[in-house]
Amino acid sequence: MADERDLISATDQEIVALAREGREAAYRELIRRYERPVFSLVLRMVRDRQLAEDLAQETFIKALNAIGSYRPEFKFSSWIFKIANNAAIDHLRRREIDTLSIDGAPHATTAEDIEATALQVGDKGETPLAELEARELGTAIERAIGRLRPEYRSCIMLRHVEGLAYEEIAQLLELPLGTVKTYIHRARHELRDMLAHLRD
Amino acid sequence: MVDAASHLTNDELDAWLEGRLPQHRSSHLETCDLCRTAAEETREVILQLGRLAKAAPSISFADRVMARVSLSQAGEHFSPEELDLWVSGVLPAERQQHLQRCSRCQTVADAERVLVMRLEALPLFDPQPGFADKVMERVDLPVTSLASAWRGFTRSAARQPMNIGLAAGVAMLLGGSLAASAAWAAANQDVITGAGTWMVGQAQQWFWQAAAIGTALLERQSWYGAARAALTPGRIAALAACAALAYAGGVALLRRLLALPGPQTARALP
Repeated sequence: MADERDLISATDQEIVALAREGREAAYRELIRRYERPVFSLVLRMVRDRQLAEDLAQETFIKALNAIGSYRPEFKFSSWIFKIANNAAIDHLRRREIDTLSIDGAPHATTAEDIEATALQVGDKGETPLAELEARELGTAIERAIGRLRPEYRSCIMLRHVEGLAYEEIAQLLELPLGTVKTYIHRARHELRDMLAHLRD
Repeated sequence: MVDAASHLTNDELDAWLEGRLPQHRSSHLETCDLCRTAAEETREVILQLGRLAKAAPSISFADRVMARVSLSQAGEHFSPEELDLWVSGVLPAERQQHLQRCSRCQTVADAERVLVMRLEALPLFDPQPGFADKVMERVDLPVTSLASAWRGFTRSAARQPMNIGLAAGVAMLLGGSLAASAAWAAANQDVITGAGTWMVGQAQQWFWQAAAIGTALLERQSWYGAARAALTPGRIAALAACAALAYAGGVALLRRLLALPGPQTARALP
């Protein structure tokens, strides 16, 4: 029976094999290895710490409950990033639909209903969490990343923050290789433009 | 009156100015004042344009052109893919030389390298403490042995304390019933033995009564005598052998019908 030290030095595939045997320590090792990268990816996508925490949790629960269907010929990191990215993109799409109701829910007919259901823009209290987020994501480059399209954002982070190859990103996002390259080049071009004032 | 549709088009006007308009169309100008006026005005404009003075470029014109010529000799600007290769440090040396001659590509490449360095230096964020525990609370570990089944049970029980109470109640009920039964049986062994003997005796009596009734009914049948005469020991043995053969043949046929297709057959399938 492998002890904790063996798990730390084991490859992802070996740990997945142990997890499939029902070893809780193997599950915990997978979480330990990927909680920071997955949480960082999701946080930079949705830019809300509490929401990112929930989405990262959902990502791990989904991945670990489906560990039996994981195909070992693919990298575990690619698999979990794919689940995390899908969770973040799904959330952003849902939020985009919700944002359409900024003037109140579609079913709101009276003035009171409209006021009650309208999105309160700019009334976010400066909670300690919000302050932390502002500090973490408030640097020029983080703000610039936040202004990119979600597709560009996930591509640029998978490429340069997680260090994935173009081919891996294409496979993970189920996009043609050329599209991934174009997204990354355009994202870098936009980031260069947005950060140009810092060079002057 | 000249038909409006027969007026010269712009292309025909061009052809007339260059002397290429066929005779049957140029004769239209003799009868149409509108087209003749347009044609003559156009010819006059062209003549005036031709007489315009030629403006001389500035003295440094040639130098400026040559500066651009040397730039184009430096080769095409970097494509996004080449920029990628340069940032990764794998751009071929002959293409890297382009940077020494092209300030535009040098600026873009420098900015790109700084950007990539800044992206790669972005920090990773930590989720809140207890993240792994929260995840593990909702992960169902696979059951591969009795030990893992027990671990899973204890985990799920710990997750919902109400389940522990429920399970303890059921266990107490079952255990209590079992203990009470055992105690009663120990105290009343003679009753259990008596009841057992009576039940066995009754069962034997019922069995033999049923056998006697069945035999009597069989003997009363009209065909019973003929059948008994026909079934000699030899015939019974032959009949049993036939039945066994038919059974074995049926089993063999069924196995053949239910067998999976072999590799050859599988390849032949569409």
